[in-house]
Amino acid sequence: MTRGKEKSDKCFNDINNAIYIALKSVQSVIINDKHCFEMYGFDILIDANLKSWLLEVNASPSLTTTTEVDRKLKMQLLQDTFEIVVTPDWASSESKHGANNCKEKNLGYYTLIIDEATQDDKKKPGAKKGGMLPPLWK
Amino acid sequence: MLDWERIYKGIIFEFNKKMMNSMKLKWRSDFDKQVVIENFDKRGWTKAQGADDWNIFWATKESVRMIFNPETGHRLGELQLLNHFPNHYELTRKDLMCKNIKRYRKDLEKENHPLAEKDETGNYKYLDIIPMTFILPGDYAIFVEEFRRNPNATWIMKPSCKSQGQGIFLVSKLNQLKKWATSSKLPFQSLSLKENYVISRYVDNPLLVGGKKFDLRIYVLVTCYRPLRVYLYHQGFTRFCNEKYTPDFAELDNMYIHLTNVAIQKHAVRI
Repeated sequence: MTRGKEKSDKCFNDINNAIYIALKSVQSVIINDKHCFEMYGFDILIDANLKSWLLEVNASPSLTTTTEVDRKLKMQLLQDTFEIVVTPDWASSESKHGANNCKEKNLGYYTLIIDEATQDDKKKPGAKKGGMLPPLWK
Repeated sequence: MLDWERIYKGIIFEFNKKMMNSMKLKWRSDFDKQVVIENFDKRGWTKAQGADDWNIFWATKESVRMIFNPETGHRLGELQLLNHFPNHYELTRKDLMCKNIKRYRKDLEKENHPLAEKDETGNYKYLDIIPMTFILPGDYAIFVEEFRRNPNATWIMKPSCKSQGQGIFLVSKLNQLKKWATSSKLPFQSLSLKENYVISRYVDNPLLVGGKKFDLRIYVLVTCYRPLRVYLYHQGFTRFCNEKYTPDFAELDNMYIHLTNVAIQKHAVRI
């Protein structure tokens, strides 16, 4: 892909947007048990116009490893996942014991892309003027 | 000037870390994958002996259904973490995902939300994240209407609940659907809910790399839905088709061109 930074940024934003819309569309129906977390595999196809299409979401993305590179990626992926969901104070009495109490910034290869808890309620997604996407993708 | 609060927090953090290391969490997994178990071992966590004696459970979808079965009325304990939400299928079953996205779109449109904005051509700027999709058999009549509007389009049929590319085929003529319906030995309209299919407009202009179609597998971690908290993983991979892409009708049955699933492609022979 040699179409310049602007295009690749747009492509990346487009993917983030798809993830956001998909999760928002189930936000009100998912039973939000605080003991649960989920690592999804999003399958995304990019078309010739660099528009991304969400094909499907997997709840149990394959953790079968085929090559050494693949194994390393999945080991790291799980390690970073546990680092986030089981924080150092997870079991301590003042903790809420949920999967959602990550205060530390030890995110590994993860970035926090949506955090409604710290979002200004008045700032509606998409309201940012001139912005391509919700203000979530700073 | 000393920042006492930061120092205090630092001490607490280190203390908690030590606690954590000495804290032997108990894990359970029925998802028999080496990488999962290796990760637990690396953390010094031990395998739970009893069925309920776990702190963290990496479970299959079937186990999650058992755990949250309303008849058992089981609730997770304070110190338990599970890797699925009780009704994760609202997002991961193809028909339910489609239904939820359509409903969300309608809701946003009704409240005139900025996300429901449309571009010059009348398409949603943000909400068109999946190709046009219908759920069969329920939406059959409106699908046929749409099909006739664009008779040259190709569609892709997928069973709602299967993964790894199973049961998928491409459709370019209506009689292919009729043939499929009769071969399933049931009258088309009476297929049970379990056998729901989705039919989507096939994206026939994929971006190609080296002439081959590919898709991206992106990992996303959700730790809470209300309020929503989402992490995106910055390492993922691309899955390539083994054969060069062609939208040619003669090749519509060749899944090595159209499907990127590893389960399909691992059977492909490299020449």
